[in-house]
Amino acid sequence: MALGSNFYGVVSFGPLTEEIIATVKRLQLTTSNGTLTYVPPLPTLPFDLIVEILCRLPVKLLVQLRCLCKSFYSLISDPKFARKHLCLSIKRRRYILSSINDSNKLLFFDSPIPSTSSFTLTQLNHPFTSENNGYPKPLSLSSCDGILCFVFDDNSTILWNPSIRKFKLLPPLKNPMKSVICSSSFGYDHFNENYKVIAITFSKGKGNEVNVHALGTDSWRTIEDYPCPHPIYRPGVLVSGAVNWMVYDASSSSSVIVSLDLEKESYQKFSHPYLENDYYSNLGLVEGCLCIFAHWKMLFDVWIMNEYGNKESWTRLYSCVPFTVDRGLHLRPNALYISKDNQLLMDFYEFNSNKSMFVDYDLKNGTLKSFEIQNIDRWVDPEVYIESLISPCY
Amino acid sequence: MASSSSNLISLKTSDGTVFKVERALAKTMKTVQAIIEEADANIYMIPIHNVFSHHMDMIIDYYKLSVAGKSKEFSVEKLDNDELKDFLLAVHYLNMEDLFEVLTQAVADRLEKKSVGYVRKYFGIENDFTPEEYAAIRKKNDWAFKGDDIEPEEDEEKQEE
Repeated sequence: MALGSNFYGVVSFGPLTEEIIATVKRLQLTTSNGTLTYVPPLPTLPFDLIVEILCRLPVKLLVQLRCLCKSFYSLISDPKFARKHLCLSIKRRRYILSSINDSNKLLFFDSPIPSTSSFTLTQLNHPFTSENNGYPKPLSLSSCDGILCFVFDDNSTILWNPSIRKFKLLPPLKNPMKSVICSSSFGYDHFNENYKVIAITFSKGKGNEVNVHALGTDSWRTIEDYPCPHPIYRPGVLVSGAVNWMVYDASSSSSVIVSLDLEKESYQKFSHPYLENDYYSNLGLVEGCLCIFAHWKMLFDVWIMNEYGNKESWTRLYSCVPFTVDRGLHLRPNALYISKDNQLLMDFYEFNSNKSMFVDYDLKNGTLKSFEIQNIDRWVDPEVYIESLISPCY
Repeated sequence: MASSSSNLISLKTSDGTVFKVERALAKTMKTVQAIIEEADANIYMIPIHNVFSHHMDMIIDYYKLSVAGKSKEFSVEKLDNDELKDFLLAVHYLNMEDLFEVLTQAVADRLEKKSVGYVRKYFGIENDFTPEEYAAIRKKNDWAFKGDDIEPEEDEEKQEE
């Protein structure tokens, strides 16, 4: 229903709202002395300003806002907007884990990274089934920019963004040797402005074979000569446009870091700071730098490579004993993430009791919050991912 | 390039008030900086349209805080929604990067926990979908409208008068 136009110099459509009443009041104030002064209309923001605000909103609200009007729909579905949102919005991190229940059903649970003392895992809807109405078992999980990359035991690879509920099944690998995909990693190639999946298969005959798939294409290519003969089981860590793995180098009898540049598709090898051989270590990411989480018994070290590729720049950031545990228990802590305010997120798995715990350890003052993960046998190592609009579909 | 012997630049707002500001502050306003650089002679007074004196007061507050390293203390809490939008438009016109980011984030923070109906009103967005198109899109994205952290949804249909 349209209101009159030009009655007070204000043109408006729609029911009499608070805004219109306020405008009339403002005009009445200025006309009280008898002269009509121009009062600027209530501010409406131009579309480019609205875009600047929208790209800072959370993903769920943005998905709802697509229903507002046609221009919002096409804006929020645009991959360029998704990238802008990724860069400008606050990183909202979540923690995900998968599990197989007693009836062999595949379940996913996730939770926002706790900023307070609560930690609630909610079950996620997922669209993954395998043939025969069964469920595939996830073997490896990595994430980048809000997209999770899974490999299932039937050798299928899936990209999934749970925040926008979009997924893509990648084309199958040409696999005459029937080798198993051991490790898959997913990362962004800045030069070509596209995402790539790196799947490493291992077979006794051929050793490691590195397959790469660029999003939007329909096939895989191989990259020759992976510089390590042993199978790789963990996904790589993406830093500075390169995927990094910690591997065992027989020639030096120690582990080294192998890195694959996503743009050039070439390898580099570099060593890490001297660690005791008994240390169990895994790679991670801290403030955009490659880091090593190393633990031996209960001692936990964090090393950071301040300048990527420069082995002189390894610095020991923290050395701590996050928890005291009775002797005899066999724990495997897995460091997930270090936040800006020095909270180290870890989860660990107690082999004897089959218990999983999630720990938030303050590296500055040594305090610890732990949460037991009830009734869930985790299947793959949990992962921290961010909410994003980036779609795996083209 | 115009060079002024003094370190102060005069800016005249839409409501006729003249503010003498430090050159460094004027430099944060890209629109003003462009005017200064384009002028051949000394510029005595730069008019800034769409900017009122109450905007300049807040801009100067922000500048003083950021020079002292306390930009996090700057708050727009006391502004209502329209005043905030108004201020954002002024800062956008002046092309001030840092303050613009602060204000867009402030608006986003206000909208974050609100319903779709609220956002629609806030931006004044008209629904230009046909009823069939809207029903189809709404159905496809229905999952996003459910959940504990969402404000109860106002009935969208009732507002389409």
